[in-house]
Amino acid sequence: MTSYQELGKIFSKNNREIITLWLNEITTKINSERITEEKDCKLLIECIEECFLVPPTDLLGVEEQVYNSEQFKRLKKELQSFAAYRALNGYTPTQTANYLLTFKKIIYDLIYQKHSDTSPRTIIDFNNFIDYLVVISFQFYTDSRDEIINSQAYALEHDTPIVKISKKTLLMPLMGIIDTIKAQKIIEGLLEAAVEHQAEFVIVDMTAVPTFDTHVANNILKTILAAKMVGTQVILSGISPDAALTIVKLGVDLGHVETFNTLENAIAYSIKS
Amino acid sequence: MNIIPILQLQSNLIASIQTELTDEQALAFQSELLEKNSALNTKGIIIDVSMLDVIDSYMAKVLTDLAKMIKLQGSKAVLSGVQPAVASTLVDMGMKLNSIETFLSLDSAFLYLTKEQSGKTKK
Repeated sequence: MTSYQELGKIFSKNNREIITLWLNEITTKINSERITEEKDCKLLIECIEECFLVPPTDLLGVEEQVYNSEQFKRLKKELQSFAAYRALNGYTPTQTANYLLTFKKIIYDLIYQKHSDTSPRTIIDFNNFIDYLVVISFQFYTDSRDEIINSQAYALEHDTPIVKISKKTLLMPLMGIIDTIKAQKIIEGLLEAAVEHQAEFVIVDMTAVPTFDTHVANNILKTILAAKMVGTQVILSGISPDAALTIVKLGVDLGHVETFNTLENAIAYSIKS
Repeated sequence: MNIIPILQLQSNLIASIQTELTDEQALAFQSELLEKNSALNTKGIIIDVSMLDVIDSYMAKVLTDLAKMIKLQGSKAVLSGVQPAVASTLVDMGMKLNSIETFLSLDSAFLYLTKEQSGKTKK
């Protein structure tokens, strides 16, 4: 009997107990709702058990056979959705890693209490197996996280709307951190919109710009100069105290630019003139 | 030899640059505009560059110099229709076009000049 078969036997004998033990451990350690975990846990245990029960052949080593089997592919798929769900719902990396680590712990306890005649080889194989699962589940977890971060970055990057608020005025609210790529898009978008709508004024609202550094200041300045060349006046609004401090310290001269504390005042100015 | 037509509209001159100019052509344009300005006693000059996709640094210098010269003659030169791409390239090159006022279109430039001229006569 291979070590995997031995494990499979232990699993099928103690199936119910493993599920309750693991759920108890998860709910106390990871601080999560029992109802949400129950389905996932049952599914994962079922998949793991199936992997142990892969019938051995003489062609390959036992380990390779298990890792190459259809059952293992299914387990991987389930782990992926398991990890992706946790990444999406704001579980910490520690919490996510703890699922399989607590699983290892309860199985060891179980073997120690009930199956103390299990061979050391089996325990080592089990250990390696779960460690491998931890590694790939963590990979899935970080992949999902990266995906979320990228999509958010993409949304921020491509979301600089230009709104026409009166016959001669456009409004461009800037959001998030302005890097070089985004700045180029802002310049292009602003100039093209100004020419297209024949707008006399473009109000650039910076209320939602959290940080302000040399690059941002430089890019804003470039935008203002370029806008002046096509014949549009840029009005800045909502420069925070922090940003004002930075602008003056950097020695950027915005003296010839109309600036207002609030968007409201900027709009009032554009209507008046 | 200047290849750009310079037209008079009321007390303003209008010159629309349609193609890229060589350095000689740009200089010829400059001198003809200055001559016409003094001969016709015009008050405002509009240079329209809406057909130009490229303005190089030499051309930019010719235009700003022109504005300064026209000012010495007692008139005012303005620029209209600078393309977005042209503007951002010029800014990237560090040019400012500070000495010449710019407008979105020929229409708004003309409106501005006539307004300013009528304001001056009222005074």
